[in-house]
Amino acid sequence: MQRRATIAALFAAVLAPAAIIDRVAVALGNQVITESEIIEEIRVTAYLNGEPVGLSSKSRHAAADRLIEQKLVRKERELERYGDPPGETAAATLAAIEKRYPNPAAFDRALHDYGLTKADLQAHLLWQSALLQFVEQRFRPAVQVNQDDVKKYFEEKVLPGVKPGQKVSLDEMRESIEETLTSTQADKQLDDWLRDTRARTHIEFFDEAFR
Amino acid sequence: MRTLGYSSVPKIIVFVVATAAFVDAQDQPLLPNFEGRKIDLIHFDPTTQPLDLDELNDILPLKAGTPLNMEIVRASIARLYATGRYKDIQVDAEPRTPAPNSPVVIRFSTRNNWFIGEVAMDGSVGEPPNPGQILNASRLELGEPFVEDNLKTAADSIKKLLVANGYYESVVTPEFKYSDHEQVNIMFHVKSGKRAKFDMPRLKGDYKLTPAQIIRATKWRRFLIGGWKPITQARVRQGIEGIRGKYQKSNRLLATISLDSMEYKPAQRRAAPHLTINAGPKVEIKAIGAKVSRKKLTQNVPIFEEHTVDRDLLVEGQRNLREQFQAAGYFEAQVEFQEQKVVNDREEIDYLITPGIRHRFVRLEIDGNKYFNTPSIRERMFLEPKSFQFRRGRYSEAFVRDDEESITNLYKSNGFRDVKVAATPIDDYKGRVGDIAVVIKIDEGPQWFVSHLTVTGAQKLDLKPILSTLNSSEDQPFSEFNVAADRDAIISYYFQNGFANANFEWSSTPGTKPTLVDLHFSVTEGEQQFVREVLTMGLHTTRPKLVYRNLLLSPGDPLSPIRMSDTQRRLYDLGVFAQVNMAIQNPDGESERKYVVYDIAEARRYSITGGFGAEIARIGGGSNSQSLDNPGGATGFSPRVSFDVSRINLFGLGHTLSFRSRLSTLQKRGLIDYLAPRIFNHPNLDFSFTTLFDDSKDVRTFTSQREEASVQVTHRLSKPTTLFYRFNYRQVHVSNLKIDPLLAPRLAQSVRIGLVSVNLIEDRRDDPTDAHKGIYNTVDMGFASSVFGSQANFLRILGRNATYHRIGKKLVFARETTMGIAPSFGALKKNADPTDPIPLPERFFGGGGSSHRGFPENQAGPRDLTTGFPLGGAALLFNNTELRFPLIGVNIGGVVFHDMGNVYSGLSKISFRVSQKDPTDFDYMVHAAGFGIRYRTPIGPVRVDLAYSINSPKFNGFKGTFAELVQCTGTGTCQRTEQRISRFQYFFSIGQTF
Repeated sequence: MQRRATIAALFAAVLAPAAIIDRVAVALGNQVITESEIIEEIRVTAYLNGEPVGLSSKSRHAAADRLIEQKLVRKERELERYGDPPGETAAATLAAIEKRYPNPAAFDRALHDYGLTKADLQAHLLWQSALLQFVEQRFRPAVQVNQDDVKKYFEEKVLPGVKPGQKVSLDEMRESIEETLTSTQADKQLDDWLRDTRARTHIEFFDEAFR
Repeated sequence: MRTLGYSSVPKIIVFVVATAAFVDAQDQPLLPNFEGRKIDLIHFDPTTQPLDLDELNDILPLKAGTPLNMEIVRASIARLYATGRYKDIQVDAEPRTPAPNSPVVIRFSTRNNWFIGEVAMDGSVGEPPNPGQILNASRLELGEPFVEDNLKTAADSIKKLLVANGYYESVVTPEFKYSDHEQVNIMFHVKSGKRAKFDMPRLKGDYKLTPAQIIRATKWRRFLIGGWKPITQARVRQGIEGIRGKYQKSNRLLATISLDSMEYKPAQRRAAPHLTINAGPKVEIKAIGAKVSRKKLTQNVPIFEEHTVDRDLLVEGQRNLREQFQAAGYFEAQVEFQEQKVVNDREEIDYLITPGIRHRFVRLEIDGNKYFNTPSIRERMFLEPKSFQFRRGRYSEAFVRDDEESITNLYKSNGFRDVKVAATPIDDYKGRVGDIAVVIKIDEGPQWFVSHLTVTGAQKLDLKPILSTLNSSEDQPFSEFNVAADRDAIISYYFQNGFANANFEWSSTPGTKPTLVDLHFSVTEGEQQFVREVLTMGLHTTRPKLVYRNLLLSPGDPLSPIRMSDTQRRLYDLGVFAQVNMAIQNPDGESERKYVVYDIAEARRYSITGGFGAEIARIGGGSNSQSLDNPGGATGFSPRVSFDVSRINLFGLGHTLSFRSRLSTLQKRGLIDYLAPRIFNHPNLDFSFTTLFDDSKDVRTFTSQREEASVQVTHRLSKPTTLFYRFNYRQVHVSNLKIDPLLAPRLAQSVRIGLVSVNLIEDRRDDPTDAHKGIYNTVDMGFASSVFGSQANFLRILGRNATYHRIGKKLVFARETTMGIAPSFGALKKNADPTDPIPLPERFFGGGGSSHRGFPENQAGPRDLTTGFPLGGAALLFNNTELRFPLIGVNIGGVVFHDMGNVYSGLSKISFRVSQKDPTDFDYMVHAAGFGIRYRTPIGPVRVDLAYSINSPKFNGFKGTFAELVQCTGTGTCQRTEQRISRFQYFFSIGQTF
């Protein structure tokens, strides 16, 4: 009986054109990004930005680019054993988003409209936490802020914005300028690292997933 | 929106909170949603997949009978792709019926990946480049994923290599074929065309030398006959180096020479190198304040080697010069340098040297050491007080630092974590100006021990076999060195068993006492990988079974890189393969079972070698072959040529047929040898069959002509021990005898020998070419009998025992005893004298550089009473002792030696008597003492020995020719002259005496 069912199923599969439910969209070495991941990324981004979901080839490529960078960072985190990212920030952000809706059902409906679940959004926010942790641990310790740069930033970026009569001293602003410069340099190092890693990785796009 | 970016991330989140609640999406369903429907069946298209069905079932998260979950579908695609065996994967779903909740059939449509298999080339290309270089230029790595687009790049790289070697008109066409096991075999069809020659170089820049001088320096022109040489990459490089050398000779150390291009002229098939040369200024380096030769400056100041002048190199030169002076006893030497600017095409660099007083390092004291004795510590030190070898001692500040560090490490690796080592140099030691002593104070501190060791994480692999071998086991000293060694041992063990990603971490906690530590080793095993199959390629004439029986891996075995390498070594050891490349197919793929691939290039089947040489020793004497003058030998010269041909891999079985020949004034030899290694599939058994023709005059008494056939089985019992089972069958003719004419007819007869022998060799020396410790034994037992077709019946036993002992750090005491007997069991022939049955060439001969240095080669033992030429004996006993010591630096050593012994007329005649009774008595013990020099080289020490014999034998000889001897013997008027083996003997050769 089971054999007959199997044969019938195979026969049906051969006769009727099957619907594609997922496929490889991008290959990075031995890792893949599937078409469904790209669509989910577009949906999450659209939801978070409050925009309609656009599934054009261009937006698919943009989403694929973001996912490629995600995969590279995730791989590096695995190799370097960064451990799980702290979940508190992601949970707090999720709670804050949920509070904007009149009730949980409205929140769920909004997500459903974007083809998302709460888990999809949670996973995305958790990834943001993981990225923050990666930058904090990988790049920030190596950043050294030069006091000349702090002074230059103060003179070029802070002073021009000071209103007449307002008193601002370099010593007062030093800490926040150092923080800004540290963040900028860490951000730049992340960009450099991503560029180098991407160049070293064999990346292949599968056109069918971008049409 | 920019998702990545450190500083922007928090902003995104804030933005999200503000806007997310108020926007509606315009969703467009794209991928059909079958989420939650039951999976009725999962099948693959095509049905033949690159992974086995079992492995597919194991690794695929999606299972039939479960609800469809898109996360799991995504994970399934990722997991399949991670195996590295798929190029593309697409998942389809098909409802079984139109009903809304109908179960679905899932189909994985796949395209598999291909991997690089055999990479070969055809076409004839004159070397260089050789085929290996051509294929390496393709940079196509065995087992890596195949990308068709890379073939063009590979062909371009090969073409580039060919052009660099003068093949400007070469054409490289790649071709590939899909093969079994997802492999792609690639063939490069190479048409090299003819090699171009150099043409007149085009020069530009400020090169100061004349073009003719530059061209001469390149050596691109043919010497004497004119014309240009063919282009090769090596010649181009050497030419540029030649120009650079030319500039260096005229102190233009900063000269830059660059090859801009090669201008090819197809009509003439020539290429003109375009060179840009800037000679730069003359750089004068001078040592001021102390005498330093130019050679020493060149060796120590690296600007000569780097062809540039910068501060770092000058500082390095400064440091090297200071250490050079310190090593010569100027321990306080100060070296500074001054760099002058370029003036009139000259730049001067002055090294200002203040050598200070020349010191002697007279004393080294080590205090405070209890756990290690002083010799154990000294063994690891560079510091060396003055001695015969180091006249002023070996001392420098760097050595002091290095020794402090090495002693500290020694203690730390044995659990003395708090050890403190302080070296204090004392100048003008005991009031003597220039004498230096160094006192090394060691504060050992407590020794730490491991009180308890726990190992966790080992689940798939049983660690019991190596736990007992760990350095950090309970009650053993605790040190981080030991833990590092244990880490290596554990990881290596996992590696051997196919755990390529095993990881190791450790931690320690205080033990129950202050100097006890509890250790915890944590292992993360990762996935174990196994051999799916072993694939071999490139076998054209070799029978596959020859390779298969040397494979140490079988399907299902853990994927051990060590066994893979051992297999590769065994294949190389067959001696029939020029190259054995090995790889794991799809190395980065996350699959449990992997193909192991061996791409084999067979070696050329014929090899031909030739050589010239000469021998200078006491091998001469007499103006012609009939002369009976100088039976003891005189310094002679013998040129030699050799010619060998080998045909390897006969019948594709790894057997070898070789012909070897040697022709000199002392020996004519031709030998044909058939070698069948590893017979009966036994790795330690070899068989050989040899035929030989030899016409030899190595014993001055006669010329022997040997026609011989032999079979031998070599049995390697263990690494140091080998047995040889041999049967020799030979016909020996003796001629040109220089003995009493009355004895000559009997000894000149041809004789047939059938000899069965067994030879045992046990070699436990640390270095066979220059042993410092160990033992070397050989026993050779032969039995010649009429049973084996022999016309002579005798037993021949020759044993040798040598031992080597270190005395202290520097001296080696070596001794060797050799004893042999050859008793006879019957007459030589019917009606022959039963007392002297052993044919001359079968007797023991001895003396010379490798047996007894009181004699010239083969001059020991009984001699003919009429002519004085050696007759050989039926027994021998030699004992050699040597004391080997360093003499100058590390490469030149010396020996003093004593050799004693002789060749005797029989076992019962062996005697320790020192004095010779009369010129007819040769059964006594000859003693010789002497010294030698050894110069260490990679192939063994070059040896010069000078020996003095206190009791070299006297004997009666005959001055004249053999014809004159025959004449005077008939008339009884022969005049004998008393002669003596020279007391002084000298020897040159390579390798220690024993």
